[in-house]
Amino acid sequence: MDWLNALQGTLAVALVVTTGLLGLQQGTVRTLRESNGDLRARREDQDKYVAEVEVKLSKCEAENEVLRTVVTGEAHLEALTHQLDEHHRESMEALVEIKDAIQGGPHGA
Amino acid sequence: MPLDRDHVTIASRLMLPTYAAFCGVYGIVFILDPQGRLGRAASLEAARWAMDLWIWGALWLVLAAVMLAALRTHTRDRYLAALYICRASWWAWAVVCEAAVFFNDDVTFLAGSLGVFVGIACTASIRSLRTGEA
Repeated sequence: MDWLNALQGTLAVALVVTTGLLGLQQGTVRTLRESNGDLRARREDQDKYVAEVEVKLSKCEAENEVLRTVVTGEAHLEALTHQLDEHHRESMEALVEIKDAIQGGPHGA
Repeated sequence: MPLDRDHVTIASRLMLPTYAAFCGVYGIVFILDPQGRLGRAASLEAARWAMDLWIWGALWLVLAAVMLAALRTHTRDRYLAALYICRASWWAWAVVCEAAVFFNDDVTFLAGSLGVFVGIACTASIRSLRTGEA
């Protein structure tokens, strides 16, 4: 085999191998592009989901605020009722004392 | 994803070892050229002009060895690289065999069909391996 044949053979093999590797590179780039598209679509879906969750969260916070006010109002009402009961009891005790004093001692003596 | 039976299609379980065996057999026959038949084949005139038949054989034998090693070590990327080069070599083979039609009236018009078919089969397997179908 002479050198020209060897060179021709080497060049031919190099051409075939290079063509194959170029195909491999192209396939890799295509796969990466597809993955990129898929990830981009997934990220958009997740962004939409986050936006929906944020809207729900705002609604929940507003409802929570209303409920907190209601609960606070009830606690306030309860405190007032308790105070009224206290005053009523003290008033009744004072009235009994006054009545006793008017009638000249305990049991109208 | 490893290259094993659980991570390839049913078709690939058959085809991946077949590519290695096919290239290996062609490689051995082209290197040894039993009885000098390949050297006398009219359809291989252009192929012999492109490069000596034993070089074609050596290329396929090396590819077969790489594919077998990749199958043993379950390395998908290595097998893919060999398959891409295998595809390129068989398309080149199709071109040189078909070119012989223009140089020799005894060569059939179908001379390049084997190379085209093997190239298409390689393309199908490449797409299957790339997608990682299981």
